[in-house]
Amino acid sequence: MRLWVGFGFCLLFFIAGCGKPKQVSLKYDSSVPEEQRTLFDSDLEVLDSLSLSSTADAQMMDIPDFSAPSLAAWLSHRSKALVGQDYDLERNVGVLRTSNPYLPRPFALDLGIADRREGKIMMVNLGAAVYMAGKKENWLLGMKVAGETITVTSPRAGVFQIHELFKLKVSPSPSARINSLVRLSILFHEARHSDGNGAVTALPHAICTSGDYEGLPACERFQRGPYVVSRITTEKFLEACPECTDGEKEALTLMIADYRARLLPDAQEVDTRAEGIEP
Amino acid sequence: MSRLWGIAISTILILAACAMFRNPEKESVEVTPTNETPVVETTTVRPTETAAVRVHESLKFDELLTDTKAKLPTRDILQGKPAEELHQPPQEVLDIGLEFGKIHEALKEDPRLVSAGALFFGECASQDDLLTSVRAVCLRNARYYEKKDPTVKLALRNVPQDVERIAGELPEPSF
Repeated sequence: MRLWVGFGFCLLFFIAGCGKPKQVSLKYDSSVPEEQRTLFDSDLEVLDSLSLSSTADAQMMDIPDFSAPSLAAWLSHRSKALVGQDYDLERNVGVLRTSNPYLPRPFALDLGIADRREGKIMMVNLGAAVYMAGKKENWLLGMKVAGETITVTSPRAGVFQIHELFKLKVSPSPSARINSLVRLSILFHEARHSDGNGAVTALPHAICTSGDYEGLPACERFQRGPYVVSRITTEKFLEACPECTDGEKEALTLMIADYRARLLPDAQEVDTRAEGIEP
Repeated sequence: MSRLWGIAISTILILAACAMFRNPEKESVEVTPTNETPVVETTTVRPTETAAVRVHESLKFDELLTDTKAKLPTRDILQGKPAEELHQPPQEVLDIGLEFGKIHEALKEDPRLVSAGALFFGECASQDDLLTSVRAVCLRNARYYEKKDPTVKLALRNVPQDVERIAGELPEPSF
């Protein structure tokens, strides 16, 4: 009898320890440092805990509402794995097949992967960039991530490279909830780069024609592009954070204002569905 | 130098206290019973104490505004940053949010400072070397505090259309 009671308690503790499985499950490459994995896991738990009733702007992201399951499903379709700053692109990206037919014909859009690696970009949607590079050469490319090969058949390969993501913060404590919300907003932004087709594959940024970022590729030319997704998600996170301090709320509001300032006046409504090829 | 500041602050405090002594009935809060409203208790506050505390608080708030003004991010901060770093809002933009938060908290604690807060945000919205995002949030805040204190009439200069537009599109303040 005592044995059974003991066993029951152990089982209970085991189940409690497992917790609720996260709705978004990302693979981590060995190049992602342990502390970043821990933080990212806690970010995804924050996403699971969000409770949002508002549906305004939901159609901009093709979701029914901003409930945690809807947001998680949206993110899961566009993000699969994270690689670290030291991820070796040359070693881990290979040609699986040459003369691979891409339909429609490839578009010469150089995302300048090598150059970007030198910079301090927060996070790069590497999967989309590799897809674009393959499309340009008519090659089918594969990426080795976390010991597995991902066949890059669409911009939705969903492999993101973390660079200085953890640098941008509101609270000095990296694990603070407000910092999770900031990182999630950037993650959603990058996830939108997994969309698009034809000339607008990966929904790339546009050169700003005026304003603070004039001359830089830091503006939005699509009504439902990545900066718009950043704006919408940050607005929702602000709404979902009544416990945020006034300062934290203002920091999120300033981010929203920054994203709004990046939207070009002639931003277009485009089909954001992701293109893809048969593997 | 700091001794001079100390003397100046002390002088202001003494002068303010003296001024209050001359007209004590103005500052004392007395609730007299009437037929309509039953009075629970009557409070009288010592005038010198109130005035001194008020001047002290006001000086502290002025200091906060001066400090925040010095930290407002101008477009110059973008110079020298690699393009990749400007892919997301600059860190300085997030940092100034925390400073704005201190102002909101001070205004909640002492609503008599609202007019000074409104003027601060109005000036920030008019300052043309600041980043658009910062000016837009300042404009929204200035309007919010202008509504809270009917004595405040903001004279906003040089506010460009995009700042106006963005300010109008921002979520309502919830502080």
